Amino acid sequence: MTKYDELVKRCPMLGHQINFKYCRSVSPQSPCRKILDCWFEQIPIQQYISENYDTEVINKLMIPPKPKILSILELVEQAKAVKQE
Amino acid sequence: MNATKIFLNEQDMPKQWYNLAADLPKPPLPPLGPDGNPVSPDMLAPVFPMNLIEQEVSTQRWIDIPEKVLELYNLWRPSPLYRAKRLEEYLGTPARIYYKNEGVSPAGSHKPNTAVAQAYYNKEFGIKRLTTETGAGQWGSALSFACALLGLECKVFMVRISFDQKPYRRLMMETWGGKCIPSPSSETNAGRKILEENPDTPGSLGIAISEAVEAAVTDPTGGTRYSLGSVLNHVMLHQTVIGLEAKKQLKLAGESKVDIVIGCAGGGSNFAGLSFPFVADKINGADIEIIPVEPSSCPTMTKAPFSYDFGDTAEMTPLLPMHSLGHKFVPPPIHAGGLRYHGMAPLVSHAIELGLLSPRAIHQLECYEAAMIWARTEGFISAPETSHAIAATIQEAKRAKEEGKEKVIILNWSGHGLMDLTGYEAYMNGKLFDYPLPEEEIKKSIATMAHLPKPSLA
Repeated sequence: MTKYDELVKRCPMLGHQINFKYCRSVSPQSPCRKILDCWFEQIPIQQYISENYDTEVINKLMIPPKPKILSILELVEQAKAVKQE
Repeated sequence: MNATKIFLNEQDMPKQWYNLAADLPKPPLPPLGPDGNPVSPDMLAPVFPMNLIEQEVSTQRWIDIPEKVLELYNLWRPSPLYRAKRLEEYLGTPARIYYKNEGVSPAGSHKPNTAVAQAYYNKEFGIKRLTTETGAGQWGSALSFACALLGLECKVFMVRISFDQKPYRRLMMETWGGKCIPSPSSETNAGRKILEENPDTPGSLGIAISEAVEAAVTDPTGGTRYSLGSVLNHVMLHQTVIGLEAKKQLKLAGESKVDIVIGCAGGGSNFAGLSFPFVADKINGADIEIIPVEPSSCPTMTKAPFSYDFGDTAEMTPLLPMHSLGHKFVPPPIHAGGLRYHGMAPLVSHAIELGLLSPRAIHQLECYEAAMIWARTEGFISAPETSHAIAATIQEAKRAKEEGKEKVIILNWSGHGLMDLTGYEAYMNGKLFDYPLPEEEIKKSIATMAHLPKPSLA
């Protein structure tokens, strides 16, 4: 799982260089949702994903970014729930 | 007139923003929820002040720019309109190429046009503090700058790895008085939860957004709101000062007619900022080609049908009218981060559907080649997103040469790329490639939307 960790490239979301380790470990549950977009020209990323993650995670990776306004509305609801706790 | 730079006096700066929603031949469609009903603007109240929400839903054609905002715009506005003479000479084109230089703002891009306005309206509403998220820090620095001018607190949740590795934007924010916090932080429930699970996490933009929204919504004093730098109608409205200035400057340059208007289109704000005032002319009969430019590898405007689309593959989010490749589409990679949206802003999609815009897709290698030509003729190093507009401009200038026509072309040079040079490095080292999307892949993706309701423009 760690064989590509030292490869470096520019992250289009963050705007600076990161290594592959960041892309695969951005959250404990799943890699960055853009990992397929960003790495397929440099490493066999689809093979890597299918060898290291289960179907649920792979399906999650196929979810494209939501329109921003909708993401914010969802976060507002989550924050309201926090406020009520 | 043969000037390279065409200036406006401060007193000639536009006093109103232009709202395209007032003039569209058919009104824009509202975002719909899964039940088919429009999303209520009240849902935005916990994160935005009511005066901005009113602008968000306004159909009033002209909206006054407050005196205070004009006074603050004076720090860098009116931005100069340049004649790209050296590029014209390089291309040997009869076209006259003009560009609006939005890189002259203190933060280096067009973003302060809305950051300052948003900070002003929040302050007027009684808000004391704004929150936002940032990766590399472009929007965070623009908002920190605006808050410094208006005397507001600014809290920017910056992704941890960026906070550690990208200190200069962070220092810009702090210089302007912004409080830049590495995300995840212990300041929010969302951040604490992540830190409990993984104390060494490098963070992500998604977590930073969650923190910024939570910090605004849960402030017990009610004195905090969230600020967004793209996509929304009021953001595009504030940016129209660019196009309104440009129209006055073109007249000063002796141009009575514009043939082509060009901008890169991601979230839509810099494209809308230059183009919407010209779209108004087109609605009123002017013969203008208006070109939003997108990456060929993720063609949401140029190849997809106009349809309601779900915002996610789980089909849980409300429906929005937009040009879309279908919610199961995953775009290939590209190095211009700002252009990586699944769906174009609904207002831009609507204008395309009405035939007011002529979207174009360009491969990233052509964009970087254009940016290199630009740097070696006009001198400025462009942001990767801006290079899309330059590439389309060069295409049109070459076409004018082939046709032997003296066309007038204007583009929005939306910002410099001095803090984003790694893409140039990759291009110069031969590490970038083009990835045309196979037609079969597009057709397959579009088929996933066949069962969804279609918007009616009738």
